[in-house]
Order: sequence, then C-alpha cells, then structure tokens
Amino acid sequence: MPQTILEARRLTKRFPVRAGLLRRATGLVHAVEDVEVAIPAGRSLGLVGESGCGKSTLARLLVGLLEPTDGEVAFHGQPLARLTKPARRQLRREVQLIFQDPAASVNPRMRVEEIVAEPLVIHRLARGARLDQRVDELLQTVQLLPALRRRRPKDLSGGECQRVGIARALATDPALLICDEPIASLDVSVGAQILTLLKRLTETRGLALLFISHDLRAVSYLCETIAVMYLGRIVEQASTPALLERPWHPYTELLLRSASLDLTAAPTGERPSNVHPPSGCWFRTRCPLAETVCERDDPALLEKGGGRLVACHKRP
Amino acid sequence: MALLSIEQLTVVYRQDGVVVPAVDRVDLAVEPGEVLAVVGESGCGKTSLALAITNLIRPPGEIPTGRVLFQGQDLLALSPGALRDVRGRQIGYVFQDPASSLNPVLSIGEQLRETIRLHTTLKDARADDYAVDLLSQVGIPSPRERLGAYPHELSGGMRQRVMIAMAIAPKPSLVIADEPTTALDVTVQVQILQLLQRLQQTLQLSLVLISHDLTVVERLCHRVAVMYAGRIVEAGPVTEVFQRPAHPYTMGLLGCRPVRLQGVVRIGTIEGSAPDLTRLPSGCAFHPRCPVAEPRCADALPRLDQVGPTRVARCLKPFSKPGA
Amino acid sequence: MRMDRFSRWGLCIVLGLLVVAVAAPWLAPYDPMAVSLPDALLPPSASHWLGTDQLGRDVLSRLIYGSRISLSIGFIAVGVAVSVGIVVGASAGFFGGWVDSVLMRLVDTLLSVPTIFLLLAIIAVDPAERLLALTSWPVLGPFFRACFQWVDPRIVVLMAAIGLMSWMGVARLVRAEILSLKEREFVLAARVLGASRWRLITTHLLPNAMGPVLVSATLGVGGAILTESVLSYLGLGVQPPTPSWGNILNEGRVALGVAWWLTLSPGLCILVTVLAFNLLGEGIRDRFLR
Repeated sequence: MPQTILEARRLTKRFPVRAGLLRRATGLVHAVEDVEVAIPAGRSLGLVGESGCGKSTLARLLVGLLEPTDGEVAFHGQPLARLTKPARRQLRREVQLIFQDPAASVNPRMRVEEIVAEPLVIHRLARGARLDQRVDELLQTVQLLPALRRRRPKDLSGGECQRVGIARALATDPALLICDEPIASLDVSVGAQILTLLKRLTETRGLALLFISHDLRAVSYLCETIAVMYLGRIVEQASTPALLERPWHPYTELLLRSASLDLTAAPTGERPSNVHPPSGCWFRTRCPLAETVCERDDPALLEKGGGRLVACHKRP
Repeated sequence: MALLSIEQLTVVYRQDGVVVPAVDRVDLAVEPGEVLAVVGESGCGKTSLALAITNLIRPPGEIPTGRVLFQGQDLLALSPGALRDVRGRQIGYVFQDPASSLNPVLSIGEQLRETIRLHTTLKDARADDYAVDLLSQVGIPSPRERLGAYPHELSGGMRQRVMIAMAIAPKPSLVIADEPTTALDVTVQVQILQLLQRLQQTLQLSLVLISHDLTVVERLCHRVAVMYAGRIVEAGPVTEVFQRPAHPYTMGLLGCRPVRLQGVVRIGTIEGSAPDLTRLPSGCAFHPRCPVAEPRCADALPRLDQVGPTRVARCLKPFSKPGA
Repeated sequence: MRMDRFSRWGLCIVLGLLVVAVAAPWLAPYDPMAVSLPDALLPPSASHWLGTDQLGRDVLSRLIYGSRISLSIGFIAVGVAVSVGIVVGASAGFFGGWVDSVLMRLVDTLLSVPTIFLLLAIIAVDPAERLLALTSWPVLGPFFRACFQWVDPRIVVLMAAIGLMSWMGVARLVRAEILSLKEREFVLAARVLGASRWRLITTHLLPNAMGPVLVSATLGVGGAILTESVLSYLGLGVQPPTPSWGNILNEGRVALGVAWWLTLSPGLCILVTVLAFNLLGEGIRDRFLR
C-alpha cells in the first residue's frame, strides 16, 4: 500500500464577500467545500472542473499557501498546521507546484540558471561546481538547451518558460508534483510537448502527480484516477478508464459531452453562484435527473464499488 | 461571387529597425453563407489577418500590399469614413475576451443602444425594442430586465452573448470572430457555438472563425485554412482536411489532441518550436520540424498547389505520412 | 539605451555635473574662498567669466565648488530618504497587519506636518553639536574626527534632515509595489519552494519594486537640491563662506540691482540641474514601463 503523501480531510475554504462602503462581509464564497482527497506516492490523480470550481484554491490549500476555514491537510499523516520546522522544510522539498502562467511564475529579474538553482540554494543541497552540474542536468531533463542558461524570462517562449518552471520544481527531487493548469495558456503543440514531458517524468521518476485542469482530454492522458469538482465539491472520483467509459455523476456526463463539443446536445443552463448555492445538491439546477430528494439533501461522496466515489442521490 | 476575397494580403510590423512579416501574401475567399476557419498557433498571423481585413492595423504594423475585396470593393482602398461604414455595419467583429471588449462603466443596454444608433436608423423606443429582441436572439433570459445590467454582473458566457448581439445588430453579411470561445468554460463553449451555428443559419451570415482549437473548427466550420509563420499552408473543406490532411503541419496539429484508442490515451507532438518570424528558415518555414522533410524543402518556398478539387497545400510532399 | 533625446540630455548634464564636482580643484580658475576686496562686484569678463561677488571672490569658482555641496546634498538626502523609505515601506507591505497600520499612521502623521517646521525643529535641536560630541568617543572618536574634517557635520545634519522629510513618499511607493507583488505567481512559487521571508523580500520582492523607487529617487535629487537652495536662501542651510548655490543666490539678493550675475548664475545652475534630473527620471521611468 503506497504511502499517502498529501491528504485533504474535510477541507473547506470560504472567502468573505465584502461589499459596501464599510466593506462588510455580506456573504461567503464557498470555494472549497468538505473535500476529501488523497494522493499516494507514485500515483497520478487528475482534478477536473470548470472555472470557479475551486481547483486552484484546493491546490493552494494543499501546499499550505492558504489556511483552510475548516478541515485540514495532512502531509505524511501530519496536519500542516502542526508541522515542525524540519517537517515544513521537508514538505517544501517533497511537494512542488507548477503554475498556469509560466511567465508569471518566474522572477522576471532572474536568469534561467538562477531560477532553476534557487531550490537547491534554499535547501542547501548543492554549491559551486556541483550546483552548476545539477542545473545542467535539470535543464537537460526538461530538454532545454544549455545555451538558455543566461537568458531572462522575457526572452523565452511560453513553452520554454514552463520547462524552466518544471526544471525548478524537479530540483529537490520531489515526491509529488502539483500542476495547476500548466498548459492552459500554451499553444496546442507546445502543450502536447509539455504533457509528454510530464508523462515521461512520472514514469521514469515514480513521481506522484496531481494534475489540475479543465481539459478532460489532457487529464485522461496523464492520470490514472480522475476526480471531478463542481462548485468546490468533489462529485465523482474513479479510475480514468472507468470514468471515461461510464460516467456516473450527471455533471461528469455533461463535462464529457461538452468536451467533445457535441453541438446537438440540449442546453444545460448556467452555473449557480458559489456565494448562494442551491439547497441540497448543488448541481440540481442543471441536472436532468433532479428530484425532490435532491432539493432537500446534500449527497455525500460515497464509495460505490470498484474504487468509484460518487456524490449523487440518483446513482446508488 | 465570393463575399470576401483576400488577395496577396501582407502585414508587417516594424520595430527597432527589424521588419516582422506577420502575414505573407495570403489569398483567401469566403462565400456567402459559408463558415471559414483560420487555424494556427500563436505567432502564425491569424489575428493580424483578422484585423487587416478591415484595415484595423495600426503602427508599428502596416499593410504594404494586398487587396481585400468585400462585395467587389477593395476595403483597403476606401476612405476612413467609407470604411467605418462597412466596418461594424456590414462586417461585424467578435473578440476573444468579452471582459475587455465591453465597457465596464456602461450597462449592456447602453452599449447595445449605441451600436444600434450608430449603424441602424432605429431610435429611442424602437431601438430599445430591437435591443431586447437581439438579447433574446442570443439566448439571454429576461432580456428587458437585463438591459440595465452591467458587464461585471454577467457571467463570461453571458458577456460573450452580448458581444455577439452587438456584432449582429446591424445585420452584417460577414462576422469575424477571433477565438470567441477560448476564454470560456467548456460547457459554456458548447452553448456559444450552438448559438453561432444557429445565428449563422437563420441570418445567412458568413463567418470567419479564428481559432487554435481544431475541435471547434470541426464542429462549426465548412472550410478551413491552416496558417504557419504568416502563410497559408493548407486550405480546403473541413471534413476532407481533417480526415486526410495534406500538409505535415496540419497532420501534426491534428495529432496533438489526446485520443483514446483501445482504452489507452495517446498524444502526438510536433518537434521543435514555432519559428522566429524575423529569422524564418529558408524555403518551407516548417521544414526544420517536419518529420518527412527533404533537403529540397529548404531550397525555395513551395507554392500553394492544388491537391484536390477544392483543396490546396503548400508542400512538396503532400499527404506523406511519417515513417512511410 | 532606449531613451529619448531629452532623457539623454538629462543624463549627459548629470554626468557632466558629477565630473565638475569631482574635478572642482582642477576646473576652478580661482580659490573660491579667496577674498579680494578691490575686485568686488566685477561684472563678467575675460578674467572672471561670471564676475565676482561682494568680497571679490570669483563667482565661477564658487559655483563649481558649490556643485559639490549641492550634488552631495542631493544624493545623500535621497539616499537617506530611499533607505528609510524602503525599510518602512517593505515592512509595512510585507508584514501587513498591525505593523502596516502603525507604520502607515506614522507616515500619514509626518506627511501632515509642514516640512519647514520639521526642518526648523530638527535644526533647533542643534544636532551638529551632538555629532561633534561623537568625536570624543573612545574607539570611534578619531574616525569621526576624520569624517568631519572632510565634511562639516552641520551639512551632514542638513542632508539627513532633508532626507528625513521625504522618506514618507518613498515608503508609500514601496509599500504599494510590495502589496501588488506579494500576490504574483513567482512570489507564490518562491514560497512553495521554501524561501525564507528574508529571501522573499530581498531576492524577489524588492528588486522588482525598485522601478518606481528609482524614478522617485532621481526626481528627489532635484527636489533636495531645491530644498537646500531655499534653506540657504533663508539663511538656514549651508553657512558661508562655504559656497552652495543657495547661499550664493542669497548673497546676491542684496546686490540684485547692481550685480545681476550674482543671482542669474546660481539660479541657472539650479534650474538646469533640477531639469536634468527630472528628464533623467522620466527617461528611467519610460524604460521601466517596458
């Protein structure tokens, strides 16, 4: 049984909505609501959802950039809030993040070699000639020419910037790589190259992967398991082949149909606001299967056999 | 006669003494009622092409050569006043990011009324009625109540619908849409594409759709033109081009979409990266990345040759499969 | 450097002034302190290009040496302002919370005190005396004495005082930049990498916040020089016989009707210098607005 690196337990994050002259909190944005997810070592999990579903917030909660409103994130079983200093440093070495906007995720005043070397410097893993060597190795791993070492981010293309970000993330030999929409702002062919690179890395290094994206196709290429998020909650989680073959949750079905851009599909309505979500099941306003029970009760995420988890009253 | 006929259109940008050829002698035609896709990745020139059609290129960009014949008239030779009449009234634009295309301090009703006032003869109450009619045509619920709404109160999909309403208000014969659904969620994308399809059919619109998303093109368009490094490298009916691509770049692009075969998801790639427009490779600009390239591909720029009854491709070895 | 013509002129003039200030002993035709009453109030001529003042001292030489004072006051005042401003602004922006509130209230308070009163208050305390007292310290005494040989402690006080009046603007600028930079992805990335707070501030935040500060600093030099001139004009700044553009202007005031060159020359120097720094500042700003 592989060890769990990161785990979210009843993780909740709500942001106050401030309005009016005195900036009073008039409501709460339910960004992430009661999420339970575990990432075991060496496995890849995809997190799929549309904008505003909370996936980026979840990523930030998982690495401790945000404090949860409720629930906790556990690193090797230890809650983040109670980590000792050495354990926190270990977290920073073992868990790394790749961002959506590659150019924005690097310091514009630093050169490529400095950017890639930074984690090694911070964690005192290498110095001098050995540092240079490691930087070269990392650049090679992400297939960047060593000639780019002295360049600044503004002289790099989007794809090259993202490779720099990946090289930097690999510097400490992490166990888990969290990718937050890493190809969303890249061209199709460049994105395909990055996806291929990530696949190779997970296979050769036994790297665990949490791949967050709205692009179901990219997620299905990289990940063994997929979790679907809607309005801050996980509504379904299953192995990739099972999910693609037979989606159980109506939202998953909707996503799959939309991903293939089937223009003959019936209209599906608007996403409700996550400040004032509907009562009961939050998807019921757009669900073709909605019933009275869906209005009343919020469905829990339950195991339905074969490792599949679904949060729906209509799919026993 | 073609509704829009682009002949040898060239767009260059001058910066710090360097000339960047964004669009290189492009020929394209759009028939009435046709949906043409212009496909390519960043830097291929598709947005410059879209802007150049109605002479919207500003310094440091310029249009040194080419003609854009719209209903027989060369738009690039028109006076600014006459061109303004065409632009907006007979040719509508829909841009990528509705958040930045809509004025945040004006309600959508005010912005719609402005367009209606500018490009039609309707005024006051009649203009309002027409605005409400437009909003319901684009699928906005409770349109009369929504006239007073501000852009930030609407979702991305709603905003894009408003943009489309503004574009079709003067009943144009051609709409140019530059990545209209890229910034939207996939479920909303479907809705907007359905809307565009419906409008195109009911209003007999011609549509030029600029996109990098081949699936969108496949669903919505009749013909497609593929651009690379400012040039058209392939053009033809969508189904034919997608089923049997002639140019290796088109083949590569189609292969970049993850595809599920026998339960396994695979993805193809194109080697290398987009060329620097100021230092284009000699001959065919794609040859350094082409899996079937030969030495002669670097000699001279291939012509756009006929490779089918209604298909053209700029390649010395069309339809060659790598490894074949 | 992609600077337009005016900024390039600004840069040239500033560099020229620096050269003049450094090379003063070689450039000045006369000893600026050399009194020669028979030659008093001579108009510009071949032997005295800018004439002489009431004590027969060559105006040109005094202006050349005066550039040293004006420029050093400009740079040091700005140096003080920027240093204090960066520390306060960065702390307020980075730590937020009560640190931010306290520091910003301090800034607001100081900004509402009229600068002249602040200056008068500083000068009244006579910090120069206290600085001179430093020379009698056990170990560092001789070091301070050597420093004060080189530059009059009263001038040091003046420079620091002018600097302490203008750090507040810099603090606000830095704070604003840091606040917006804090949320940028590369800062988040650095945090995820495990960067310490010190590293975040020094490697990531401050270097990227320097743009507006640099512009403010170049404009501030001009402002400091003007302030010095005003103070000297009021008799509160550099005391004669040490020449500064401001006190040359002051001395020329009484003889304005008779000896116009005593007012025009320092006035022009101040004008050109402040203008040059302003143009330079604009050029730097344009370059940073990428």
